[in-house]
Amino acid sequence: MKDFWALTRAWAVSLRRDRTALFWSFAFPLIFIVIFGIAFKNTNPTYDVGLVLPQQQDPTAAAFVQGLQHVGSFKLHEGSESAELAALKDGKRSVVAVVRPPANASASPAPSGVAIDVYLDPAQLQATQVVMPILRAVADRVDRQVTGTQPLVRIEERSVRAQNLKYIDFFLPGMVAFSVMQGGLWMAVVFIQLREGRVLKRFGATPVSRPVVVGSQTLVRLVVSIIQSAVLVLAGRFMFNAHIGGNPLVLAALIVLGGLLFLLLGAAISGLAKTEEAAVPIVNVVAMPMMFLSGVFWPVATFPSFIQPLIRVLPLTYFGDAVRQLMTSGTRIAPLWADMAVMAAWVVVAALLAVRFFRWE
Amino acid sequence: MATGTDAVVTAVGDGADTPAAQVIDLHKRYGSVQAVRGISFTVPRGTIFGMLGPNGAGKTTTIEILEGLREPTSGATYVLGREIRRDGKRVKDRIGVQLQTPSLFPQLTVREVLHLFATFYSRRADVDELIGAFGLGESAGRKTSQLSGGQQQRLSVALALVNDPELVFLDEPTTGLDPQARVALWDVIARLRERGKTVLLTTHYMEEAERLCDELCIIDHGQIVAQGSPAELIARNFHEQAVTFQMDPPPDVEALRLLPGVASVAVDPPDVACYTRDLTGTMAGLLEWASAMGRPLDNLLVRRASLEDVFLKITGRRLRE
Ligand SMILES: Nc1ncnc2c1ncn2[C@@H]1O[C@H](COP(=O)(O)OP(=O)(O)OP(=O)(O)O)[C@@H](O)[C@H]1O
Ligand SMILES: [Mg+2]
Repeated sequence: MKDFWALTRAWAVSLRRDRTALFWSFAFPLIFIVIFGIAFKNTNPTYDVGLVLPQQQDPTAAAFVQGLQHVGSFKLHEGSESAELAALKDGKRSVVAVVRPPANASASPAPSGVAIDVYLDPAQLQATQVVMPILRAVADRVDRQVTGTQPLVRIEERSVRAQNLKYIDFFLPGMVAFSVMQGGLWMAVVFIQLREGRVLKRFGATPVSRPVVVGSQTLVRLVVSIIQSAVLVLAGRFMFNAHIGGNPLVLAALIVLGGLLFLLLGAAISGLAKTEEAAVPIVNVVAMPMMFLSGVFWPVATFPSFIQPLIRVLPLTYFGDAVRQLMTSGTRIAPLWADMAVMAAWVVVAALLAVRFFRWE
Repeated sequence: MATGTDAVVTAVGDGADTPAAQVIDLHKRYGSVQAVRGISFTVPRGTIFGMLGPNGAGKTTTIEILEGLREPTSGATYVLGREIRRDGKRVKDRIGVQLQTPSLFPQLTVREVLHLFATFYSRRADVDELIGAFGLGESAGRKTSQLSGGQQQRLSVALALVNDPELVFLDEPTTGLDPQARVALWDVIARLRERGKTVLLTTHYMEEAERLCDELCIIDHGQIVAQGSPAELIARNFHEQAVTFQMDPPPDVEALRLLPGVASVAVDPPDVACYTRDLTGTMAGLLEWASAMGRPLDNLLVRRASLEDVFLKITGRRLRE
């Protein structure tokens, strides 16, 4: 264990003295945040939400509508089902919520429940990533109001009142995920330096075990990712008044999962490249599509539908989505399970690739 | 991690009677390259054992197989009485390794690297003492990436001693050192032997091998071509003195061999060496032959045979730095 902590310290000290690494880990993403934050300061995206209400008055439906009216970034359009769905097809709505009356209201003595069908435009992935959690949260609140249960999670209460989603609220989580990805993938270069500089080989001549070498490096990198994310989040919060929801521990857990995923991919890439120079294009080939397609900063709505399947396999899509859901709507962990499951599957894939390709010398 | 008690127990178990290192019929192939072809030797405890050979002879391959860093194609190696591939942790705790290419943390200082490596082992040498012994006092606080090549080389050797090892592997320890630093390092190595340590080193320098090694093997093309103490090797190959000169194009070897007293002739253009038991006869014959042929004898010298001559005789090549 002594050797583990000594190595951890050595990696950390090495990193702290490496100006280039510090720049890319901290200064560069921060500069990004500042530039985008300033450029889009006054852009508050609004989402067109189509509403189809039942014929007769229903208290639950009314409460739901009232809840939606409080969400500042929602622009509500009430209309007939066919008209609203047509508008959705034309790209004029982000989502359409159809509130259906209770099927057999008389059968149950409890307050009536309504079913809400939500129609999405898959091309507007990014919009739905923001809209869906809010819809869910509103419905959840209405549910609790009607049934009389006390809200258990205050964070959700707050998030429902998160009125104005500004561009920064939208951009910041993407930037967090993106930076963690970059940090992991570019570790390929560090691994190559350690390999070609024979540092890894030199450890092989000491009693230090490989898990200790790998584990200490991983620990340092994950801590760096968490610090990096914290810096970005705080910068967004204090410089641009970004809205930040969600439990920080859940965010940290997501970053650990995502950090591990991309670190493993970086390790695999390091094995594929003989030199640092050779690793650069490989990292770019992996990073670029995710940067553009995963919806972390650019709306994916503009991408044609044939690209959507690709978008749906990229790990950053899920990582970015999870971080955004958490930060914008302060959701509980439950809605994140799907994202986390895909990410976990990707961790397994990346680990297999790393085991297959990583080289010690 | 082995405790102090553990170390004592294994030291007893291994006994000082097992050799420090043993190589039995070692072969190593890289694709189509046969780097090592059937090398066997034994390094007794408390000695300095040298592997001498030209570039590409297979020295690094052999030493790194012993260190557990490369896999042999066939053959066996024992280090401190154990197989390093089975007992890695335990053996590695008690050996010191210097790789041919220095491998250091670029961002850490000399002192930090030494302290870091010291935590890997159950025994520790005094880091400050090492820094002093290797003349690194002034650069102890500098990053290793800012050291000169020679300083890096010295640190790399110092790192091999950070666990006060029983057996030290040094792969060309003095390459890149200035003459003063080289002599200082020879002193450090000789003192290791005084303290009962064993050293296995490779070198290109005849002088180094002659001065330091108790036992020496000359490796060429992956095979041992001669083995013994430096004095033995010279005595076994030469009872003669060497008359050397330069001539280009090279002379007819047969004609030289027929000169009075000449035992053998070695030519490595433009260098020519005649080994003789009858110096006066050979010199007279040689001068007569040269004037008859009308060819000048450039840089004519007479000296005692050295390891250099042994090497030239055995491999037909000169060992160049
Ligand atoms: N990893 C490797 N892959 C392929 N061939 C190798 C490898 N390492 C060494 N060789 C080849 O094996 C032979 C022996 O190399 P080795 O490094 O053991 O020689 P050496 O005696 O240490 O030489 P030098 O004095 O230059 O250090 C050389 O022909 C070399 O090209
Ligand atoms: Mg070598």
